[in-house]
Amino acid sequence: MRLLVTAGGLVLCGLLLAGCTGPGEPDARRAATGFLDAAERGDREAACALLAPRTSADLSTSEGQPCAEALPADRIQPGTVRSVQVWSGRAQVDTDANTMFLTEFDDGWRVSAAGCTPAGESEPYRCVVGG
Amino acid sequence: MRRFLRDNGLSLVFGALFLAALVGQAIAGHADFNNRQLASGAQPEPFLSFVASSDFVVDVAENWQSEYLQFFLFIYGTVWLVQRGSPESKQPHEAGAESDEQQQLGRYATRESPHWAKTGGWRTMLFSSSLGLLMAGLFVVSWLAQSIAGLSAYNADQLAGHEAAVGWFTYLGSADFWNRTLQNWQSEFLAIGSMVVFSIYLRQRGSPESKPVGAPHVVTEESG
Repeated sequence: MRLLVTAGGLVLCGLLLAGCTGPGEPDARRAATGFLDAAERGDREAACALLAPRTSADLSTSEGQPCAEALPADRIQPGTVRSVQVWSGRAQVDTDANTMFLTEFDDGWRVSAAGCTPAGESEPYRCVVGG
Repeated sequence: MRRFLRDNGLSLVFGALFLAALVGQAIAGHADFNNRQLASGAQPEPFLSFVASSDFVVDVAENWQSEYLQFFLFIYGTVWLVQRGSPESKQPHEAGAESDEQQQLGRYATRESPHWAKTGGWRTMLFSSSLGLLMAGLFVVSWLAQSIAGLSAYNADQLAGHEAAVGWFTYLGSADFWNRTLQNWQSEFLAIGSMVVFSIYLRQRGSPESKPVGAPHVVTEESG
């Protein structure tokens, strides 16, 4: 009985720990800052390299040209990162200008949406890229 | 060995069924999770990474909490509540915690009684409620695990849809948390209620969960 209770306790502790947010905040912050820096200096190639594959492909498809030409870098406001939240392979990065959403891949964090502003309660953010 | 298996068949079979079902849930859940990952533009996750993820943990914990709540309520409820004709119930006149003599406590304890049933004081009081307390404790911990893992899974979905993450207290009031909780509670309460009522009129020969086949419908607290 005692063994059963101990085993049950260990499993539940594991469940509690597994539910917590994982590491990755510094990496997500670095990717977001890298994207903003690249956009600010007009280096669209570098900015596009930090976009999530789906976001980059959608941008190219909707604009009918490669990402590096389609990316509206001048509409992405530069800013300093104020907070980073990581939840199970997704991240929300708030700057003093707006918000970015990132997704984790094997080779690091990539920006899935940038230049985002709230659109109202229970509504997705409106984003310049990936919206 | 054969005797051990025979003496513990019920525990061993249900333990094995639990593990097999948990592995099955992990395999099916992993495939479903990766389908959703690909649909949202993220990458598939390895199996072990999924098993340690909040998506798997919340699905496991939401079922565990409701099972332990069910047993906790049933154990405590059947102390005071009766159902005439059900083998799951005591006789109506026995409702309550019963006397020390009926419960073999203190001077009524036998030589084989558990030590804490003989000692009196807080040990006997604690031991007298140990089954219900364990179920209540496991319910609380499982529900807490559901809330924490659920928050993580919910926020990941929020961020995938470019919506803001929420805090734990906000999540506790969310539709997602209560939908997960209540969909499990209702099924547990239905199962208990069905068992109590059906066992008045229906029989399963040889099962201690049933009255003897020939027992009258009005007979309460008898198994066979």
